[in-house]
Amino acid sequence: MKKKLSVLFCALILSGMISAADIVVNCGDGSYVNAHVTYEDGNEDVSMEDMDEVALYLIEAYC
Amino acid sequence: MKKQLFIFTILFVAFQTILSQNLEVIYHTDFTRNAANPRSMYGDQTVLNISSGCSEFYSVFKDKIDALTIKMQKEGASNDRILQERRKLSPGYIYFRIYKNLPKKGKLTFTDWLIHNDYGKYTEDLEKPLWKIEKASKEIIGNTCQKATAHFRGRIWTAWYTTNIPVQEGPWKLWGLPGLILEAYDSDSLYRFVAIGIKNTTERNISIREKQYINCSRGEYMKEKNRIEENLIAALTNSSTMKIVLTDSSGKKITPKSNKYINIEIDEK
Repeated sequence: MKKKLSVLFCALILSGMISAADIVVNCGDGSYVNAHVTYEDGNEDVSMEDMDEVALYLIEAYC
Repeated sequence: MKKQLFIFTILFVAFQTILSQNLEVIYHTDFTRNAANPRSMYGDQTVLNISSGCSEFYSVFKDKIDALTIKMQKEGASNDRILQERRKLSPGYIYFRIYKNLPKKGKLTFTDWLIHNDYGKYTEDLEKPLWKIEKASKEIIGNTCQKATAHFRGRIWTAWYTTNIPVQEGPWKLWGLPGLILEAYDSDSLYRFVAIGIKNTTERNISIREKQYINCSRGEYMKEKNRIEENLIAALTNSSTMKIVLTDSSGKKITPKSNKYINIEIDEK
């Protein structure tokens, strides 16, 4: 069975580079899981794959 | 004499055509990677490009996402804009790329995303699965296919190949049958590749994608991949200045769980 889950939004607060992001996953049963991601160093070289993997992790671990 | 020359010419051309077959095979790919949640299946689309005795295998969807990201970064687009555009494309879940007969004949090169902007790479001998040809046959996209099975890298694989396309190639690390593998799956139904399209292409130069790779052995890669995937949040936060706080629907903080990661290969030798 394929679980159709959606990442609701990934809001990025930008100041040149990402300094914070919220990755919110809708589990499809009315529940949500949120990962609030921050970087101590605002100039961190953000990896898009990190963001994608966190979203998948939330789905796999909590939905 | 003329007849013999004609037959020789036909055979020579046919032989050359087989040797220099340039193909693009698209596979629908389903897989799961979490033993604790085996029902969470991912769908992706992969491609096997074959040219000049080499091949490369990767996710079409991930490749499109990467191409878009690189293009937008070059144009100076902001990260949120890139993320918005990425989400309009089909998600690509397979990050690895496999090159057969590269950097040279008889070798396989494997690359994969590990964490942050780090990619791992290893080269190993191109190991041929010890196939057992079975009697069963079926049609896949208009080609009669024969069944074969093999124990390979810790799993039992079933492959369906067609001698209509006499190329010893297949998806992932599978190869070595008398024809192209059009379908393959493991006995636990964790991974499945099904061909949905084949086309002849012009000769192309297949080369390993240029990146700053961390060179390692297959065993080192597998240990590192398992370590990261089984405790992703810890791996992300321990190796950078990244901090991650998880909360549920009510806003209550939740503790990160570990995952039971399923690797397509089991043995770490």
